Amino acid sequence: MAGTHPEIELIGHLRDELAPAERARIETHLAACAECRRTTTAFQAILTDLRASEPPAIHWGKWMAELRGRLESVRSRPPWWRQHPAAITLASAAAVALIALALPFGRALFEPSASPELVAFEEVTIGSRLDLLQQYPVVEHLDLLEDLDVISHLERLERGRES
Amino acid sequence: MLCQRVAGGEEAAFDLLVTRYQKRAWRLAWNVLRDAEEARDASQEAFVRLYRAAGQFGGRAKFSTWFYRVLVNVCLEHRRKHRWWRHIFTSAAADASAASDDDEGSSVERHPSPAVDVLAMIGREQTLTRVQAAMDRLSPQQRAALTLQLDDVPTAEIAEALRCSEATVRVHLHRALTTLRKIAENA
Repeated sequence: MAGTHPEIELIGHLRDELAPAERARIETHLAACAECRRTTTAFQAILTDLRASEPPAIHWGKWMAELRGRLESVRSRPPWWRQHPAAITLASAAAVALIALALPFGRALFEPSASPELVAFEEVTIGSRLDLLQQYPVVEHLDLLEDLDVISHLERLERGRES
Repeated sequence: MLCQRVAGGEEAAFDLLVTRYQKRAWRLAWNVLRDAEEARDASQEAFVRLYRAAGQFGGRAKFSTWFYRVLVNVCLEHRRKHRWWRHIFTSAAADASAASDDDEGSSVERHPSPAVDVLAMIGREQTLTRVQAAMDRLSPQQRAALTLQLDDVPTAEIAEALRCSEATVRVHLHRALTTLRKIAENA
């Protein structure tokens, strides 16, 4: 039969897990498709062979004795945090030290960063023009860092106003 | 419930669970790991984890699903842990297995013609050996899905145990059976 084969649905059909409508669809397909019938037969034969094949024989008495031994060691073993008290103390101390170190570093990350030279230049410039700054409300709207050129030459603004 | 009795420290309840599930655990572990030592270790480890975590079993899923999930996890962890040396030895083991297959073939040929039922028996044995050897070609997930399918575990439970969808389980099964079919037909 030409077209697509319902390969994955064949598994559901083999396992008898399909809904009635789906099962009817697959059975119709199987009735018309020799390839899918061969596949189904081959899969069933493989599953029969696999069911018949057993894993290697095992000495269950020995297996059970080993399991009991493992359980015994689990029962007698203290919890992991009691097995290594020194490691826990060291880990706690290291964690505290890390937090202490990280705090100032973290604070620095959130603080605005400006180089000391730039801050000093800014202060000197603004300080020398304080009287002019008070006279020009327009300066209030300037971004001080970006418009330092304007502030440095405020007297030109004043001359312009006089003329 | 049996699991709650295990959580309460009742030895007899744990023994009962072990008796019920040990063979299935061994079969699944062996089929996934394909190594008797590792399968023995993994099947025991699954019961140890069951013993330790019995109190955590909420009863929402079936106990068998929960146990299979624990077991599949243990098996896959084993595979991950031992992957490095498995690569070294697998090719040597495959060579040895191929050589042993050749020996079997020649030894059968050397013998005088036996009775028909004995021939059929040998043929059957060889087919089963071949099927088991072909399982090595499958992925651990495919082998786990196939083994659980052989135990008639519903697809929904296999999906729970393998932490995948039911559709993925069907894909695993289809790929596994297709691979095994190809190997059987080319043998």
